[in-house]
Amino acid sequence: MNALETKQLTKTYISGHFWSKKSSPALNGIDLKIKNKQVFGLLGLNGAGKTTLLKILIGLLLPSFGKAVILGKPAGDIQTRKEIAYLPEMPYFPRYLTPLEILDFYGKLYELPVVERKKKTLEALVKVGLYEKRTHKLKEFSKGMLQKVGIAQLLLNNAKIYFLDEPTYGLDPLAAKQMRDIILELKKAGKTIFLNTHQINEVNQICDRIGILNNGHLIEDIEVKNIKGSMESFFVKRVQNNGKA
Amino acid sequence: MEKHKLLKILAIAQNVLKECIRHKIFNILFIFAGALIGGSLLIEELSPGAEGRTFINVAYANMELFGFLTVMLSIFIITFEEVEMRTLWLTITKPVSRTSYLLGKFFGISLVLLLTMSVMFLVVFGLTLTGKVHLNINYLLVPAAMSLSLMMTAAFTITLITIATNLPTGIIFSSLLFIIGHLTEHLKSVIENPQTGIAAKTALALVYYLAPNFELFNLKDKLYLAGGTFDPYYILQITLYAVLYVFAALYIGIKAFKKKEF
Amino acid sequence: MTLKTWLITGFSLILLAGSITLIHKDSYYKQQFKEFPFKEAKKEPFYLFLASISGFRSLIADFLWMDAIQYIGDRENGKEKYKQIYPKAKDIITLDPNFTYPYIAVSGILFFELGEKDTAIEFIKFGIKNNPDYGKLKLYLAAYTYSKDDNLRMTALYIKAAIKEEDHPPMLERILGSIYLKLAGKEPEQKNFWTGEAIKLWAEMYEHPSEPLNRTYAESRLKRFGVIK
Repeated sequence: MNALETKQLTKTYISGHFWSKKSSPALNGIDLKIKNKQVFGLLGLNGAGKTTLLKILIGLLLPSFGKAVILGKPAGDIQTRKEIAYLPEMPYFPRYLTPLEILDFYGKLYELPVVERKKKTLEALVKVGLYEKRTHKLKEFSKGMLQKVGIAQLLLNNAKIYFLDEPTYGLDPLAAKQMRDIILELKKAGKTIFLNTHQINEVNQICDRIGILNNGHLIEDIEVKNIKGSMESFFVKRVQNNGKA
Repeated sequence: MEKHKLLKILAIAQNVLKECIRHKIFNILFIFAGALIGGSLLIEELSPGAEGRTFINVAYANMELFGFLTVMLSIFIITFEEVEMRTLWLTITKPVSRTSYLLGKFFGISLVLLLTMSVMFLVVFGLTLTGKVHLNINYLLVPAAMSLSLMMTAAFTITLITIATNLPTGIIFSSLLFIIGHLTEHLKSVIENPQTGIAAKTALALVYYLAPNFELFNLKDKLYLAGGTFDPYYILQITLYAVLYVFAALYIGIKAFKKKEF
Repeated sequence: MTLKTWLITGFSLILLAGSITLIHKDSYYKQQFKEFPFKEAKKEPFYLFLASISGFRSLIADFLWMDAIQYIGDRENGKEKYKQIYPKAKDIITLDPNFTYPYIAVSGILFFELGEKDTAIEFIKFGIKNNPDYGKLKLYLAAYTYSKDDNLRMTALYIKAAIKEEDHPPMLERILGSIYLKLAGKEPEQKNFWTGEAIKLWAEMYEHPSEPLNRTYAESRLKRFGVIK
């Protein structure tokens, strides 16, 4: 069974006034299938449509055409969301809450029973190294620390699919390594991961398969083991030739 | 079908409440409100013969003003964080429906409002113990009606912000609607005036019935109707009106929010 | 700006502009208070409009009352015989017809200080019409009516009843003293009784003044009658 599937997924943004509407295509007929337990890395230049695709998959955007199915249900389905976890590029949280409170809140939304919620919250905080700061207000946190809170919330619901948008963004090298270790742990645990990233070495280390988006088109979809030569030169060549080898 | 809907709504409301009352701007607002309500005692000294009345009027005016500011600021703070700082992304990708989210936000802001109003009323109540005002149930019904009208304000502001593309437009528009809501009695008299043309009558009737009628809730200007205690039936009617208005406003808001993309 | 923003902004502006224009032409207050000589009110209806859109009619009536008090308190205004006090009072009760104190205080000034007896009676009658359950106003009306008919005994009786009420204008106590003296002059056989009543009243005013001026006034009277030195 596929964990995730898109068919002819298209997204066009409409902007401007009604007398001068502008439409800018962001995604164009994306067909993608990601198998269970697969780690998929989505690569692309800035503005290629990576975030748009991710946002459609997690239900923040609606497709203009085509469909996206996650775990057999349309993207955005409420019950399916219990099985997914999402880390945005730069996670922000209500500034006057504490990590403990915000994780407890997310736990409630995941419908976790009280005891389990408390346990998982504390475990996640220990895992990302924020246990000591659990009662500090989030407004005092640096970008890297906020990213860690974002990682902690990933670990609450024992999800089946993880959507990660630039997970090492803003992290110092040590924290970035810690993040990669967490992703590898998830991989080991048989989780499906959808990774949106610029970091080619990250893809090399983690992913089973990659896709390359260019100007809204999926120009490449390949198993990492089938890539000959370095990942970097492969990516550059594909983007420069718009998908042709 | 969404499970544990009520619990999720309460969790969101609780978050909104915590976030708002811990905010620095709120602390400043609270100090100002307290100071101004306390200051009502000084102002009443300037009004010989009407001391108690002036104290109560100034205090209620402060309560309404700060109640309104509380609603607007809470909505501004929460929506700014949601949209500009994208805190909403993480929340609505969790298993919670957009309906529950918007309801939670409304109840959270209502809780902030009710808390602020209660604290202010307690301050007023404490000050009336100096003896110049003899409180009765009417004095409690005034802030209660005020709170109802401010909850209506919260509902349509949330809805307008959801529909409008940007936050300031929504806030400005709902402030204007707040003013227009106080004009409804005038509109009615113009509609009833035989000299008003049919087209104007229709347009005004539309505004009259669509705009929230805040004059209905303005019990503070009716407090001195001699010998009068507020008719419980009237209180019931305006409560029902507020509930219906909030329901209608939030219904439209939810419809818009469901289609909204982030 | 997008279409929605334009529409929302445009709609709100039209709504506000339309409302303001209409309210200016409008007859709400004229309808509401049509039996009252509204046009004589000193302030423009815009004042009322402002009070009404803010939803703070009572409060603004209070502020106008403070202004009226300042006006009365300024002795300079005595030169023009406090002629602004009636228009000011009308502004106040136009905003809040249930604000009872100005009816009492201003009608007293009109009747006893300025000699505008008919205006005072008309004013207090308007007060009674708007506040039928507020008994004190009827007390004052009775006092004015008897006084106008030169029935000083009845006037004294009603004013005596009025000053027993907690929120009477302090001026009324001074007026009652003068009425007692007038009665003493008018009824020589009862002179001692009425003078005694006046002295009792001044003594009470001296002991428990409702305003500082009353104490000074009572002191001077008591000295004049040799009660105190």
